[in-house]
Amino acid sequence: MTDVTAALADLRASLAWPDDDVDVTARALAELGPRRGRPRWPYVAAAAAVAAIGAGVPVAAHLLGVEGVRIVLTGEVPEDIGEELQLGRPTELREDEVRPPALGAPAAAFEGRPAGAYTEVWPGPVIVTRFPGSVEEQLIEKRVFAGGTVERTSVDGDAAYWISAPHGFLYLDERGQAQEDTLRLSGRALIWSRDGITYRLESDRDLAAAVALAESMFG
Amino acid sequence: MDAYAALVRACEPAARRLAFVLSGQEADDAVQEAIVKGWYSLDRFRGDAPFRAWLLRIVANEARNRRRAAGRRAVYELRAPDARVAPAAESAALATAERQAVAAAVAALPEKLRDVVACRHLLELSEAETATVLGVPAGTVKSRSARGLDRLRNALEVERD
Repeated sequence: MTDVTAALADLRASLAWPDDDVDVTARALAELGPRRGRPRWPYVAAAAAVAAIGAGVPVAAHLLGVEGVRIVLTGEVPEDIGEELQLGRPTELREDEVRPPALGAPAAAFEGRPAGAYTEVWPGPVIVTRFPGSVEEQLIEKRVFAGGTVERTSVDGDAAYWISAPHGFLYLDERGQAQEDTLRLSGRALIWSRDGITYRLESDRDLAAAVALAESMFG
Repeated sequence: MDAYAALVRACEPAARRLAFVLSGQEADDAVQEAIVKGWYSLDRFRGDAPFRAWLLRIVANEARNRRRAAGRRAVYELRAPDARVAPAAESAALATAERQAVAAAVAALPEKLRDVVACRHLLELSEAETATVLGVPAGTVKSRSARGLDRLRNALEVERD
């Protein structure tokens, strides 16, 4: 019997795929003019997160950025929170990370979501994620849409953004490429960059308390 | 526009390959037009799929429209053999003939089956991404893929007999 998938794989390797040296994007961008109205980009990766959320998780009600999806977090950190909130792979606590001293040792740590990220979780929950890259005012203010809001603030002198972004937001990665990310909890997140690292702090705290918590990380 | 350009550029290789397998010729023109249409359609991006899948769907529509307007099938051209490698002439000729037969069999599939087979097996898109890009339910992708592979298998076995 013919192994048709193997034959297709062989064909795939043999096709005369388009050359890499044609910059179609540049050609297209040269045609673009201003768009009318304010763009609304609900950047989401949340659909997959919805599928990952189990039905039986109870209590404190934090809505993920999708209407009707209820994540249940008790006073303790559930073992499967990493999967539910798409925090990445469980990993060892890193000794040398900055963290809010008042919270004590994190209950769990994860890595890999978004790329290069390291996330620590405390009961409450409080979630602090660090990933390589930066947030810039233009990206944050123009690319948080679909009901999202942005308030500019600062963390220890660094520009920071207090955002709600039900459908996500954009940041620049290490290569300067725009990447999508989503908030893991409902409500608001504090986002700021320092020394090439972007920090995302999510909890049920208000702005002042979130900023105080963030600033305590740096002594 | 800078953020749009950055995202589009990241998707460009996949977009050009998609247009290539769906339309064959004029693939780059289809991608260029899709990028322009995407820019002016951003207000309709609802975020029910990642940006890449949203843009690829516009590319797929543009490529398929162009293919239909031209009244032709996609043609899958093989790249020229690598001159640095010198396999036995007879076996190389056989392999090339076999690949050409597979390419022709894929191109001869009914449009709906061919597009799914091309997305799944030539572009290696996931079922979910294929569904978004082609605008059909995931179950349809699965069934069309299975039917497409069956037809290909039969066509290639007839070819050998």
